[in-house]
Amino acid sequence: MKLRPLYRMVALLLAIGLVAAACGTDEEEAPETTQAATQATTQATQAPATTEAAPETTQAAMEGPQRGGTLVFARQLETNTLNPFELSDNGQIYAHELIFDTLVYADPKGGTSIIPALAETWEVSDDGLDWSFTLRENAMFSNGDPVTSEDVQYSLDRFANPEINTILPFLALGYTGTEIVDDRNFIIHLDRPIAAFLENISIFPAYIVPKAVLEAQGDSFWEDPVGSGPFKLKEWIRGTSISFEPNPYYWEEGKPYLDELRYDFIVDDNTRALKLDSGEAHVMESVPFTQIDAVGDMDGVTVLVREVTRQEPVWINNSAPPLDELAVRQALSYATDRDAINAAVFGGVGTVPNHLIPPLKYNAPTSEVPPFEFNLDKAKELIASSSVPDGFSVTFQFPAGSGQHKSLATVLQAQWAEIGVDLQLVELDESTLADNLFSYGYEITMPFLKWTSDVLVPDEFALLMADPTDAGLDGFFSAWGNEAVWAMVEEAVAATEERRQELWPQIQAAWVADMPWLNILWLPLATAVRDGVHDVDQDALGVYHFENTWIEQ
Amino acid sequence: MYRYLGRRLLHSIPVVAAVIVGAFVIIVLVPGDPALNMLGYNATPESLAILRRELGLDRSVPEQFIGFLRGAVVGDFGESILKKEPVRDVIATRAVISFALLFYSAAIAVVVAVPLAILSAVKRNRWQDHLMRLGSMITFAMPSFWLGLLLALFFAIRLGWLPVAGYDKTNVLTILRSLTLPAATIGLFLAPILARTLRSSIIEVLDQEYVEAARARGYRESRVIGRHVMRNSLIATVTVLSLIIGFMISGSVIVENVFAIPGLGSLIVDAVLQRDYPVIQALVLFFGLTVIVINLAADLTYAAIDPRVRLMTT
Repeated sequence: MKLRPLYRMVALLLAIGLVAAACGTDEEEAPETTQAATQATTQATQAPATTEAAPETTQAAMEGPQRGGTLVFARQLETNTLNPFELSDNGQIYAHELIFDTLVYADPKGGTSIIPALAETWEVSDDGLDWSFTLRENAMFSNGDPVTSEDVQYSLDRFANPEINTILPFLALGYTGTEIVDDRNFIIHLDRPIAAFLENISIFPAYIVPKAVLEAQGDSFWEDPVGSGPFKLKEWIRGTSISFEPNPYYWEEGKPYLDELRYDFIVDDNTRALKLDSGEAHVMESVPFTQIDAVGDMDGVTVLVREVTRQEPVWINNSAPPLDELAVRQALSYATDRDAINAAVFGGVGTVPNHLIPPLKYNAPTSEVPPFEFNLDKAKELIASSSVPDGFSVTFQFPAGSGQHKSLATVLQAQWAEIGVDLQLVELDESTLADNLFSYGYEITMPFLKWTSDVLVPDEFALLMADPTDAGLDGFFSAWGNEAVWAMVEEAVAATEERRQELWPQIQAAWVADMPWLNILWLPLATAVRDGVHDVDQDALGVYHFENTWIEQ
Repeated sequence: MYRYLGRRLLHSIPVVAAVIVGAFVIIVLVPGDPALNMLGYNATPESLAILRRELGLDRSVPEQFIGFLRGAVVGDFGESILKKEPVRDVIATRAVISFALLFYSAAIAVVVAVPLAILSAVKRNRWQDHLMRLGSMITFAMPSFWLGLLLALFFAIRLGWLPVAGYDKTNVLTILRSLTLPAATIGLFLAPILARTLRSSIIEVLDQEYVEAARARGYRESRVIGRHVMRNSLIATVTVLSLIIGFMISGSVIVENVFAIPGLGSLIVDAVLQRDYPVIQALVLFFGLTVIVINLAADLTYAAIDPRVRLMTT
């Protein structure tokens, strides 16, 4: 039986109302606080999947892209600045990506490939220290000026300057400078081989900006910036919407197809869904996991659930007894029924992981490193072999106001009680959680609402989380260190492609064996799209691309 | 009247001082380092130092307080961390929208509540009265986000008369269209409180001898209600309106978010979630002062409506 749309929506709202009243703010509403407090990233190894079959291919779709129309994107987070060095949440990044381009970028259609953007070709010297690039002949800014090597040098010097790039300065790892050969050719010099160099310069802080215009305009440049991306700013109504029009000089001939693209800022999940249902919006981002079915049931709407490089980690303080014992940490993992959590808390959209970090390039297949297993007998055996055979009591900190995290904490409390672990739940605001993490003022914690990678390869996470040295972050404040793992990481980040393919799975196996923290699930991103809208692309970093998007007229 | 005004202003001073101190201590009470909280663990020492200087955290607490006080006097709270604009400008732009929404909400509440209260009081304990009381209980008990979504579902999705959400400032008509559903949501929440208060007052006044006297003189019932009853019933209503202004502001926080209205309510949610402390401080101060001013205005309104109020306090 199919309910009429209005009654179905009332039923949905009633369910939402009850859940919201019981649980408070859903975590999907909260701004992202991530690895590097930055962007969501999409699954690097799998093509986007959908919850339902793709909409029937229409005659228009078969005939190919049509030009024109205004696309309205109901967005959760507001755009507050067009300066990529000021703020780095998705409210900003998804707008910056329309205006600016990098030398190379992640394939807009997904996957782990880094493909040419402003740079047409490149090659690296045998010692891995010198990268020679050639710019596209038709690479131009939206004011009609050509993109030159001088612009690249200026932009990458800013990218590598930690006083300017306060957002992600460590992505400029190894950069020593850019040598201009001529207007279209230049060489980037590194002080050591950086295997992830292309990935590092493919994301937002490494945008190429016009030197002359920025120097002439100063800070006012960012009010209406000139870039070489597919769109340029049309109108910006702060707090309400931001709209873009095509950049007539965009290097991809004939694109973009849209006459206008508008982001409407709507924090409330339910209101975004209603906007989509009414046809006032064509695309809705961040469909809450528990509402995927309801939104997908709307007439003329498809929900795209794209596997992403997002994980739900639980930090363990490896210096707090008895959590310093491997058997205890392993017991906690074996006592965690991830499938049950997935069904109860995440609407079944998560994936049981086989690694402690998000799913990234070079991850070992599950045949080599199996997914984390739920095995209560094994968990009991491990606890019995530890210094706390009768169980123990431990505090578990989690973010206040997040219904999803509260549910997760409650389920873990019940599951771990089976092996005698008395989990004391402590609900704290995010600032306090972060402060406690950075000062080791915790036993077990979930300090962040979202946790994702900035790049498609494991280098960033490994350098950040596996570094046991004093100069590093001490296993990202878990007090964990493994010299053998770290030695392999140090080799992998500077190794050849072939060697990296060997090393990363080995690192994964050794890392997982230590179980310094728990990875509960890998989680996706959900986007709802109205029928008649085609090619709303999302790259492997989770960033939306609209240069290929078109609307049936 | 001037003496009464002076006395009330004098009474407001300690309250204003408490609000200023309250707004200031937010940044002192934040656990840990606010600059680190804002920039995250990957902040460089340079960027932390710059932000601490911008927030004035490199100074002693008394120095910070004096700086905050100076800023508060001239309305300078620095730049919003989140919006990248002066806090004063951010608040000024959004305050206009929020006040328009609150005024529109209050107007809807009054338009709905006054006739209902009169009808209910005049038809006391009859079916009209019972229906009003039942209906008011339902809308009052309904959470505003839920009521708002239901209104959007009916008027925007079902009938297509109004937009689901958003703020279109193209012209007065589009602004009114944008604000109608959120204002109705707040207004329908307020109307039951007003209607019930006014109903009780009217019933009380209807029993007074001077009302009987007016009737005995042969005045029409509409004149008795309009001239003799309403004026004397208004004091309680004004009191309730001034008391619930705080609820209206807090209600607007939710409603503005539900309907994507770029007012102060959605601003404070953004600011709290993203730890934009200069905006939070300024808004706490702004909301506090607004409530004080409105309560003061209510007191003065009593005095204007009923001369006994100012006589009693002199």
